[in-house]
Amino acid sequence: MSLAIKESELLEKVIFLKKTNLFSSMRTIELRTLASIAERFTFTKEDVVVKEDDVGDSMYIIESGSVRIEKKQKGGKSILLATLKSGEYFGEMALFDAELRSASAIADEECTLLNIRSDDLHDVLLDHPTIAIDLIKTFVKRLRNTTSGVSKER
Amino acid sequence: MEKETYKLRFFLLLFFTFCSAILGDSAAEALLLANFPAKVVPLMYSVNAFFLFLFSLFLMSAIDRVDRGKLFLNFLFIHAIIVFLIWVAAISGVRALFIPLFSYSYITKIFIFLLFWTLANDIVDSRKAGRDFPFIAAGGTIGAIGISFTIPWILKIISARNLLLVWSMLSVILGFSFLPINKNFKRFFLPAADRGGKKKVNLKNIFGDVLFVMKEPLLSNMSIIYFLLFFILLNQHYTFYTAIKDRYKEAGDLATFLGYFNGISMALTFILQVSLSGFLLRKIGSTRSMLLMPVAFTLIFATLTYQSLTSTLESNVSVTLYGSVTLTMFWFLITGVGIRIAFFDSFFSPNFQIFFSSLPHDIRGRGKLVIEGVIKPMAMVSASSWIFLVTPRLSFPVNMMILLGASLLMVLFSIRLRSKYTESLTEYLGSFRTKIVDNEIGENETDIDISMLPQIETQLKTEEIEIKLFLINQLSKLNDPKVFDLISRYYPEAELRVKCGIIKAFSGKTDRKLKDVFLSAFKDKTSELFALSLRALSSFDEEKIYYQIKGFIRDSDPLISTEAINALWYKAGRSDKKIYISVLGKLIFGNDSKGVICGLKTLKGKSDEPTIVSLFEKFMREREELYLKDRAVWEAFLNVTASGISHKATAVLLSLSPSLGAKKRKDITATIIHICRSGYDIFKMKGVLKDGDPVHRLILLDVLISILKHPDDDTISLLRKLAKKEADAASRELLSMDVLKRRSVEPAVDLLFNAVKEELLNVHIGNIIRIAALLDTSDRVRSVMHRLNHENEHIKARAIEVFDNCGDVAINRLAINLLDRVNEKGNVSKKGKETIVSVISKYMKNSNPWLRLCAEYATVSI
Repeated sequence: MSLAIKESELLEKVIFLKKTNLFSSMRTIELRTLASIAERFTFTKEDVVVKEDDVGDSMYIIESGSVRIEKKQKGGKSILLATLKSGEYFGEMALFDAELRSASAIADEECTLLNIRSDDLHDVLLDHPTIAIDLIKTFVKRLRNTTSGVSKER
Repeated sequence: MEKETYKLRFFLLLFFTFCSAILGDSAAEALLLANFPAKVVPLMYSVNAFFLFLFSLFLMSAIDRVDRGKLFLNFLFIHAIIVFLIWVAAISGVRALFIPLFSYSYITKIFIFLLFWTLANDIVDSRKAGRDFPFIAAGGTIGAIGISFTIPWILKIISARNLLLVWSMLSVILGFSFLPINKNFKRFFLPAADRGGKKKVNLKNIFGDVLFVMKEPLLSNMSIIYFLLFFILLNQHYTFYTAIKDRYKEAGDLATFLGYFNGISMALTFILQVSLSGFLLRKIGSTRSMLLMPVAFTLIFATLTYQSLTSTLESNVSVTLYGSVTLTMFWFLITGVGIRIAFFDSFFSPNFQIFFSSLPHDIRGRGKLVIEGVIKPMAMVSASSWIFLVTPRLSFPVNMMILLGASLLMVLFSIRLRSKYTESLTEYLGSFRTKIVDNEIGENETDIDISMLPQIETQLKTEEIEIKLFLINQLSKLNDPKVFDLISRYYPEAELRVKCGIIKAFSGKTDRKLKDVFLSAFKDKTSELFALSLRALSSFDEEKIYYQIKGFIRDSDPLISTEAINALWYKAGRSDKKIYISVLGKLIFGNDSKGVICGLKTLKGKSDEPTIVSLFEKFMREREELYLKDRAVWEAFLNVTASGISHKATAVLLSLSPSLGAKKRKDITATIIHICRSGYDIFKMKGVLKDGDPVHRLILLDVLISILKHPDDDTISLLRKLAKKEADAASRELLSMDVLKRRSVEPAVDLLFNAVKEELLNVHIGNIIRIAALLDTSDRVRSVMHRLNHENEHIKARAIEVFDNCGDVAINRLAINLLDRVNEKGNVSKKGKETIVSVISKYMKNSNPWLRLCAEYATVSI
């Protein structure tokens, strides 16, 4: 068909984002806006996606493959915090503050990631404030789950 | 176990609950009547009322503070042990136990039913309850019919005393059938986490609970209805017993008649429950369904009153109460009781539970217990006292008339329930803000007076810039020489932003001291301050000043040149204006967005000059790409448009809307509202409202919601027609969604399905809801309209219940039915004529570019 490659790629991203927990409740038209600022990157095994203590300015959503989240200990040895798979995300705090990365993310195998930069997102939010509300809702839901998890452990 | 399977589990649970309760009741009644005289039964009703009251008072303070699932489970097993022990005592010959057994059977039955429905309410919201409870209630009826016919058969094998053992075993089965439910839904039965420590069970707290519930508008109204219902019901039953005792003298005949009567009325109840009940509750809504029972009562007692009065007139003898009853009257009485049983179990009882589902968890249990444990015993005692003390002193027709009066009162309170229900729900939604509050917020502006100047002078030195700007604006309203003194003293030390604020706020005033301030700004090198000073100085009407300003008309800084035009515009002649318009034209058609913005802002307020209007209209047509892309230009464009510069602007803005996002659509709505407030008649767009794109309607309806207080008859008629049109369009979209759903395994088709669903909810159904808001004079629809599709099921259910009970019933139900259909779209309905190809082709021609793009992409995948 006559659909441009660029538009096909955009719609592919929308379909993928709709399947992730973070964006599943968002309307497709909003996802289209997000997809337009989400840049696709490919990493090979053991590539460092983000490095601990670097200044963070973007978040990543794993489209395919898996990513290890590691944190350095006092002795310089790293411990594994989590292994994230397709549909999961990391670095979302950097969208709203400019603090240093609290852990490193390393490609556990060849993987494709979507990257959303905070500057681009801020521009989008000015024209699409409902995206901000949806993002806040998702983050609050995640915080609630964490809080309830902690209170259960107690 | 998924939440969806709860329905069948609860159906089975109620089946066993009824089996156990009816068997227990029959055993207790039979053992009491067999061992004691019959006159003990009416006395036991009062004893039951007393125990029911005490028992409920105790539970009232506990039910919301404990794990309800655990409470139910523990109770069932303890109950089974108690009944087993009574059985052991009974076979050992202890007859005296049969008197407390009668009350025990009654109280435990009430407790089990009460807890059963509370648990069901905990799991589902009020919308789901309306759909599922009639089905669950049918499980109970089947259990009741089954056990009623089984008891005589069991009694052929074992003695009445041994029924106690069967009862105990049934209670154990009931407990085991609840175990998996408790395991899977435990989180719903736990007390709310924020309720702190356990409250002491004492009279003060219990009284507090009763008072709390009685102050709650919905519960207090429900309590009155419940009281009237049981008062009427017990009186009717007494009449029923008197009539059958009069007709059937032998115990065997009585038992046979009652057997047939119970069997037939339960079968009728069952048929109603599985066929009409759920459908009717859903079709006419919960509050309107509440009218069925009192209307049935009214018809029954109106008929009995008429029948008894005509019999009295015909025989010319006053028919003494409950004397010989004619055969016709007998069958009227019996039919009335049969109808009451069927209506109570099919409509009233399940529907009554729905109202509890809409209440917050923390008062649901207490509300139920106050009604069951305080109101019901009160009704029982009142009815008993009435039957013993008043009934014998009145004639039969007068008694029927009194019951007719009570039925009418019940109708009245059932009608009132609608408003009380919406009142409570909006309170729990926490969203209702009346127009009065809005007006007060709008009018509540702070004013300052001249006596406050010393204090303000200090604040201007110490406060934040935003507060300083606020104070400057307030001061400019006073128009007093003392204020001008203060400003001229303060100006040199003010920050740049505050200086600009001063020039803007005091521009147009011609005080000598202010002139010095403006001249000081005129000498400033900062372009904004300088530019602002031009307009301020022009107010002094001095040729020398005009001459100086004229020199800046073609300044390279667009802010300065446009401020110069603003300063000179009203003094300019035709030839000068021509020059100014030419400068503005160059600015707004230039490439510098600052120039475009300054030029656009300068057009504002000059619409008396036709060339300015033409210039703006040309800009609207030719620079669409720029103002849609650049947010600052877009805002400036809307700002000028909102001033009502061109009557063509509304149509242009509407034509842009289908391809824009939600934020820009809202901007357009706000702009059109401003245009209307400056005198534009929105009904000039009636044609667009009637036949335009649904997105055009969406915007125009939002405008109407903001500017129209009470639509006139013509508008109401137009809005109703529009709602019908939107509903038809929505139905067509739903059929197309069915076709897409069948192929939704294809990601691209699924994407189109979601996009269509969003459009349907936002535009077509959204427009019906907007129309409902316009037709509702109570303001409640406006307060809940944004929660009708809330992600929290309980909030959504409450919002829909409010929506269902206010405003224009027909329009609101149209929207609710469509919302239900959209939410059920996980299941594909019947096949329509459309094919996947025709549906996708249809969306490829849609006015919404996003739908077009999704459709185009879907063609690739199929």
